[in-house]
Amino acid sequence: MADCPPNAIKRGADGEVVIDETCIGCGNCQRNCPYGVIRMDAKPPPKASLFSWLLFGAGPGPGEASYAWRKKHTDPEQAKVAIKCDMCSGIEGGPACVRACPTGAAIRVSPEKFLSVARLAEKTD
Amino acid sequence: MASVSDAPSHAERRRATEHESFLAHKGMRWLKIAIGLSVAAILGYAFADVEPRPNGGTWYGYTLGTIGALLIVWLALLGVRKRAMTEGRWSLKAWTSAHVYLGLALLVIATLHTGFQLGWNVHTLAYGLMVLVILSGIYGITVYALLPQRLSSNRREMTKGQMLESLAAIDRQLEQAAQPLARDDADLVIDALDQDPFAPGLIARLTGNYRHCRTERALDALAGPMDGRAATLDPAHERVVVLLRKRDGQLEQIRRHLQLRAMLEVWLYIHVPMTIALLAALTAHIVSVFYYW
Repeated sequence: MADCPPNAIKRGADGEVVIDETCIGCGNCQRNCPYGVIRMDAKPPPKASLFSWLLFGAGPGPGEASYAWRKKHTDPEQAKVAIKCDMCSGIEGGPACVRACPTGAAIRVSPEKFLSVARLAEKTD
Repeated sequence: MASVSDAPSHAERRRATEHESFLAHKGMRWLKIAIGLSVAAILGYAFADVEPRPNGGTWYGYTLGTIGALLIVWLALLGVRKRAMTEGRWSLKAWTSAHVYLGLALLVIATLHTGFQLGWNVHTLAYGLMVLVILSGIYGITVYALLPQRLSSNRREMTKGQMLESLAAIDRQLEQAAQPLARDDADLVIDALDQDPFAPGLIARLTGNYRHCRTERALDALAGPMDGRAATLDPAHERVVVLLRKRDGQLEQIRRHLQLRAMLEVWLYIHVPMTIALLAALTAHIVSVFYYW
């Protein structure tokens, strides 16, 4: 992307857009993103394990921790960087949202198939 | 023409194979395993020669009890697995499918383990809690299979945020439109706008029956005299009635959304705590059995 000073944002082989670790957190990509999918955030602090939460009430519990908790426990010196869904690129097993979906509602389809699924949905409505 | 009419059926088929429900996962593999397990347990119960009569303390009773206890622990581990997002080729859908069908098979296995000897003791407490967990689970899969479709047809391509924005927009117009009304009529509108329309508790949320809804009360009072002689009403009054109708419709859509969401979630408030209680009762059951050997 032209406005990315360290050239950290790139498009991968399957069409996914990936931001690598050279991101300096300038926020240009977030401001210019036409879909609003990029946000600026710090790496979340580590949480207590499920069992220590269940048995001893440690940490914020399952799920994404609240903003207040993250703000309180993150190192204030740590810079925010740009983050977005990169289809879990580099993680074995593919997109975590699909693996984590218990009912089979979330699936991955290739771009050309996606268009035909969307058209069909319009027709059947 | 033929190729055009063929296209949707082809796409329909493809979509059906890609979007596979957890109940139909891998050609219902876990349903078949669960049926096999249940049939084997029933046949074993019928043919095992145990003395003096079938109960949890015979060799066959201990076998079923061990299988049942291991199943309960493994079924409860779904809650751990779904929160441990590790790398690798695994899917929670397969786990959920196995959880559902093996959980149903557990009802057969545990019932045979009891040898139909129930009483007022810690052993039957564990059994009762297990039945409660399984029944709430059956409710859960039923609503998961039936309600999501109603949820999306009720949404009419709006998100919950957009529904609330639309309500806020109607409220702003209503406030403006109610200015020229007489004091009593304006008070009805102000009352409706001041009320938190989603507050009245669990029962109202689940049944969708909101008594004391002030929007409906205002509509009844203001629209009542309008029937039959709509043309004679002053335009300000009529505009308020139209906006109140819009507000009522919007409220209904949001309440329906909340009702369906509540029906999809409410069972977990029984299923999960009862599972924890079951694990405690199961521990007490096993310890007491071996302590009083």
